[in-house]
Parts: sequence; structure tokens; C-alpha cells
Amino acid sequence: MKGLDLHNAMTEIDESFIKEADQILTNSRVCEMTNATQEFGGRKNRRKSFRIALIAACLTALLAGTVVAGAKALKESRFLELFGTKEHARELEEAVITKDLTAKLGNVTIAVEDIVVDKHIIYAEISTDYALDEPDGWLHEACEYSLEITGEAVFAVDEKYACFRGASPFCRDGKLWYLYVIEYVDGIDLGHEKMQLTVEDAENHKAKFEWVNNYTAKSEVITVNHEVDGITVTDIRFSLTEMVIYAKAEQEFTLRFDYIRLDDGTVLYYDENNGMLSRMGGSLKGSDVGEGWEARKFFTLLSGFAEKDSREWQFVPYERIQSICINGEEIRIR
Amino acid sequence: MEDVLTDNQIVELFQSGSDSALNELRKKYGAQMQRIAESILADKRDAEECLNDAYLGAWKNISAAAPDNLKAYLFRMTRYCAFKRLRTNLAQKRGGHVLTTSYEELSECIPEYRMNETEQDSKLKEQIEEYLRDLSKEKRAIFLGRFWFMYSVAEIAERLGRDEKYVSNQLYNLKKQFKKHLGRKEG
Repeated sequence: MKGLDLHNAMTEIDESFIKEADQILTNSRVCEMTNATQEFGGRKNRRKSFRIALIAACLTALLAGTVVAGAKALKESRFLELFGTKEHARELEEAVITKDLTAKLGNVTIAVEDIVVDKHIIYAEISTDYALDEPDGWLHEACEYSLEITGEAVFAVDEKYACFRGASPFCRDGKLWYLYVIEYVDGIDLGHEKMQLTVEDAENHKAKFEWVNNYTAKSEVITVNHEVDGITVTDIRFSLTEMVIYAKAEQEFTLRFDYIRLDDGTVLYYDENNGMLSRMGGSLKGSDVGEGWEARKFFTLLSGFAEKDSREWQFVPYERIQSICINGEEIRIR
Repeated sequence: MEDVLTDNQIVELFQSGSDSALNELRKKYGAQMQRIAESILADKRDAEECLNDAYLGAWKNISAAAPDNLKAYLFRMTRYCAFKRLRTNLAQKRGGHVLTTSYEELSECIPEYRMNETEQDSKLKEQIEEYLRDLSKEKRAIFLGRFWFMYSVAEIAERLGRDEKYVSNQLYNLKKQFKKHLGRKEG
């Protein structure tokens, strides 16, 4: 038997395998996210997509009006409003960078108003002057006017990294807006990368926005190496809007994530009262990586945490997290 | 932007003998077919000729076959043509530079004791299917993404929303398991 025989036999395999793989490989995250507000049934192996779709989709009930002086603070507040987070977060102010890049698509003016920057994530707020008769908040119904948005970082030397991205439409002040998220794995620093964002309407009018980032995002990696029920929690990586917990073991495992404790003793749970959010995983589930099992679990710090039995989600500055509790065991990290 | 026809409309064009059938097919699937051909045949000219063979095959056969899944049908035909050409190239000892990474990767899965098998193994297809059936959907997609659709690791990672390291690790493991599975043939 030669390689060719194997390839020929592979060519012949039942079409159902091909169809299934093609569907999985073709349902790109962009498609998935473009309709994020309508799609809750994400695959479990696309936890990140699911997570952000949920962020974008399910927190509309808690919109709150916060009057804060100053343009930055106002922008930061309005950004947080989208996620159902009430209070003003000074930590986010510096992350809001005004862009004001505009273009005309047919009769509609589109603008990348600002970006909210994190180390490996960029949230772009894109306005249109298309009028809507809707209350402020995420749009759950398809809008007559819609934009296809694609964005990415253009890395030097032909580097191409997998990224997660997607647009969620919302109404702000009676106009159609989009929040576009571009997220790379947590090892990537977007702080000085070139970014491209293309918008296209249904009539194929197209505009491209480009800019070069110039910011230094804060982040922190804490080595934990703490064993919980035979599983090693190895690291916790923080950036402005995200916490990622890593764990590994020799065998398959699932760890339950319970809560975080802040520096003032406040205990915050990760949306345990929200059925949809808890389904997306208050757990760290290991994947087979060939040389053992590893888990990497993402938590948004923008809106995912709330006190017990509360539905008032909070933005959590990561410096304030003193410990995490996994499988009932509290691990002090600071 | 040009309108793209549905698969049914394209098949109907072939069935009615329309001159535009091939153009519509090329417009919709040409780039992907070319990518598959180029993934198997590193030589661009070979890949182009293979693509022409695939188009010719489509022209001759689609009307009668009326495939339910046009995309899979065309990709399969492209693979046939590409491997046929690769086999010829290898026979003519032009193989040194045409072997592609995914070809080599899969060939490495053949257990040593089976390398000398000369007769066509009719059970090989079933063995592959048996292996695929035991995998999770994501692992199947990774395996077939690499060895059927001939995507690069980076492309698979992007399509699945995973990072490259994860996909590489999965592939490494899948190949190991596949080799073991092929080795079980004789029971």
C-alpha cells in the first residue's frame, strides 16, 4: 500500500462525512457572529463564539442610564451599557480611543466612531445614520438595512493567526450601530498592529477603514500551578476585559468554576443565575492535546460577574481579583 | 458583484446543455477546486491541467449524475484528477518535487508492515470510514479538513475558531490514532 492508495480510498469515503466536515469548516465564525443576536445554539467546541454571542445577545434587560461627565467617560459608559453593566468603570476610560473614520455607502454614512482596546481584543463601535424606531439596545430582529463587516489585524511578515470576529447590531439614539469584535488568542498583542475593517451593504457599496494601533494594553499572567482534585490549574491570564484560566492533567477532566473573590472580600459568581450563561460553562473541560489534556477557559470581565442571586453584572478590574474558587477550593492568587 | 447561482440551477444548466453551465460552475467553485488541485500537485501547471480535467469530467457527467451535493461531487472529482496525475508523475519519477505536505503526512500513517501490500485493498475505504465514525465531529472536521479538503493547519484553525497549536496537536494525535487503526487491519 502506498500513500496514493490511502488518498484514493480517502477520496471515496461516504459523502455524509464530507458534507458534515464541510458544514463545520464552512460555517465560519464571521457568519456565526454576524447573526450573533439570533443564534444562541453555539456548538460546544466553539466556546469563544458562543461566549461572545451571549455577551452580545442576552443582557439587554439591564440597560441603565448613567450620566457621567466627560466624553471619554460617556463613551465608556455607553459601551458598558450595551453589556448591561451599570456602573462607571474608570479603568475602561483609557481604553476608549476615538476614531471618527467615516465613509458614505450609498445614502448612508458609516463611521468607525471609536474602538475599545484590549491586549488581544478590539471592540469597534460603528455608527450609521440609518434611522430606527427602536429602543436603545441590541437588535434581535433582522433590520431592513444591514452591513456585512469584516475586520482583522494585518500582521507583519505574512503571519496569519486564527481570530474570532463578528458584528452585533444595536440601536443607539434611534440609529443603527454595530459592535464589531476582533479577538485573537491571548498570546497576541494588538497594541501596535495595523487593522483593517471593511463594511459592505446589500447593494455591494463597500468601504475600507484602516488604522495603525498605538496603545499599550495592560495584562498580567499569574502562574498558579495549584492542584485541584488531581488537576493542575497552571496559569491565569488577565487582560482588561478577559480572564483566561488554564489547567492540565494526564487524563480527561472537568473542573467546576465557582467564583472569584475581590480585594474587599466581595464574592462574584459567573452568571450562575442565568441559565443560558451557565450552560456555556462554569467549567474547565480538558481537550486531548496529544500529550495529555488541557483546558483553557475564557471569562469576560465586562459583564459576566455578579453577586450571588443578583442579575446586576459588574465590570471587574482584574487587579482586584484576590482568589478564584474551583471545585470548591479557593486558590489565592495575590 | 456577480450573482451566484444555486447548485440546483447549475445542475439544470448542465442538463439543458447550456453554454454558461461551466462558467457558472467555475464562478462558484473554481477557486476552491483550484486550491485542492494545488494542494495535491505542487506544480502550478499540473494543477491547471488537473483542473481542466475536472471541468471536463463535470461537463461529461453532471447531467446524468445530478449530484445531490454538487460541491462534494466536484471536490471529489478534483481529487480524483489530481491523484491520477500525481500517480503518473510519481511513475515517471517526477515525484520528488510534487509531493505535498498533506500527502506525505497521510502517507506516514501507513503501518510499516502494510507498505508492501501490492493488491488494491478494497477494505481500506471501510477502514477509514470506521475510523472516522469513532471521532467527535470536530476531530472529524480537522482530519478531513487536512486530508480531504487539503486545508492548511492555519486555515482549519481559522475556520474552527481555534488556535493553530490546538489544531496541530489534534492532528498529531489523530494521525497517531489513524496509524494505529490501520495497523489493526489484520485483527
